Amino acid sequence: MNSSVATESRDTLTAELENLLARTALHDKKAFARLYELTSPRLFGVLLQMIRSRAVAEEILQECFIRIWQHAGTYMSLKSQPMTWMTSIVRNRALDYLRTQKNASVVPDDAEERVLDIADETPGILAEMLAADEAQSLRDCMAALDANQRKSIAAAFYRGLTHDEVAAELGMALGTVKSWIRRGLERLRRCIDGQALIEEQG
Amino acid sequence: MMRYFKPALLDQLAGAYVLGTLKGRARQRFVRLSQAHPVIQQAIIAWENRLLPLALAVTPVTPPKRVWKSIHARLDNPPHKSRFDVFALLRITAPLALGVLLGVGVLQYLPKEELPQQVTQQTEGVPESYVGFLTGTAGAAPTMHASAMRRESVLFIKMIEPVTLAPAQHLVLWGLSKDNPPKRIGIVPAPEGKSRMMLAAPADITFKGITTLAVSIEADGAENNTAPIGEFVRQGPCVKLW
Repeated sequence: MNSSVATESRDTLTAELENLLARTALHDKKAFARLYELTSPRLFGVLLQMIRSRAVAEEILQECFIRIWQHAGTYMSLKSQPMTWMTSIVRNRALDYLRTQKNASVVPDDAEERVLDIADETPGILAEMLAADEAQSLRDCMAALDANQRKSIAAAFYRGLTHDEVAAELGMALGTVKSWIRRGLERLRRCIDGQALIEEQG
Repeated sequence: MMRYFKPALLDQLAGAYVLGTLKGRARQRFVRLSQAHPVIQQAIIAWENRLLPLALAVTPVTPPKRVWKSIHARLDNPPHKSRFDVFALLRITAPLALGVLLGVGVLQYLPKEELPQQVTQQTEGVPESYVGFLTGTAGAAPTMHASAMRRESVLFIKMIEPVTLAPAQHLVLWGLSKDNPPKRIGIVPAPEGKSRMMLAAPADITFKGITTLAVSIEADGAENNTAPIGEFVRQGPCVKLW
């Protein structure tokens, strides 16, 4: 898929998701079912990376979609993409769960590699459409980080690890890991915002 | 509190919040403050927009069919918590609404023992009515309310916070119910202050079965649309009071 076609397809899909969220806000069950069909595999995938128990991940996915059903009217399309909004709901609920559990460190450790695979190995039409521009920009910025910064941020993002857990897993001092993550986020912010500015001006 | 508004620190905290490394009471406090301070919400949304596309790299996994079945079943049988949320909203907004508006003997769909004493004391002997409390964000304080006498055809609207409209736009009020498509109530006469809307039928007929009111922004020229096209900028429960 070339980049202009990908962008057009992504815009079409984004518009469809926005429309489905608007209809969901009106408690249109058919629209909600379609929204679930399009987005649940991605969101379930996010949960399975963070939550050790598949049963718990299923339960959280249920809770999150009920929340989406109840709060779709609060989605603001001018502020974020539909998938971003739904992903934030799912990740925040998963993080709440993880912070009351001690199971975060048992999931597969391929988080860093996954960061560099964005847009390359994500099957399915949703991924193909959505992975175009935003993820490319983010991938470039992640690739520009130091390896330790990238590894720490990826572990925290994909697996929901705390500073302490990242430090324990990498065998590094807590202060060192905190510094990697803080500086890595700052570099990411500068890089992503800079790219966005270039796109706006270009 | 003021330290949260130092841009560098706010940005750092918002990044840690979205990444998930802000934890414990600091995370709870940050969430609580974000609900009251738009500048914190904006910082969080900015970081969500930066970081959450990382989730696109996760391999999709289709959930088992039982997940959707459970979700679907819960749509028709909302858990007790959702009713409590409406109750909580009423408890917060009742003094405001009742001071300006109308009154009641009983909130019909809530068991009487659950009614806050403040409501029952303030509503005795007040005329029968429908009333809606609408907000721009779930859980936020009302930014609009609407009320009508049960058997009358005038809806009194007060925009507590105005809605900003672009040229050639107007606001439409919709009635939402569980099993039916949205019902167009009418055009909101003014995006700010107080206004009156003439209803097509008395309130008890117009709002029969309606559980939620919502306001969308629509383009001029589409005044007769029977379904909303624009996004909702206000939404909240519609309560029958008598």
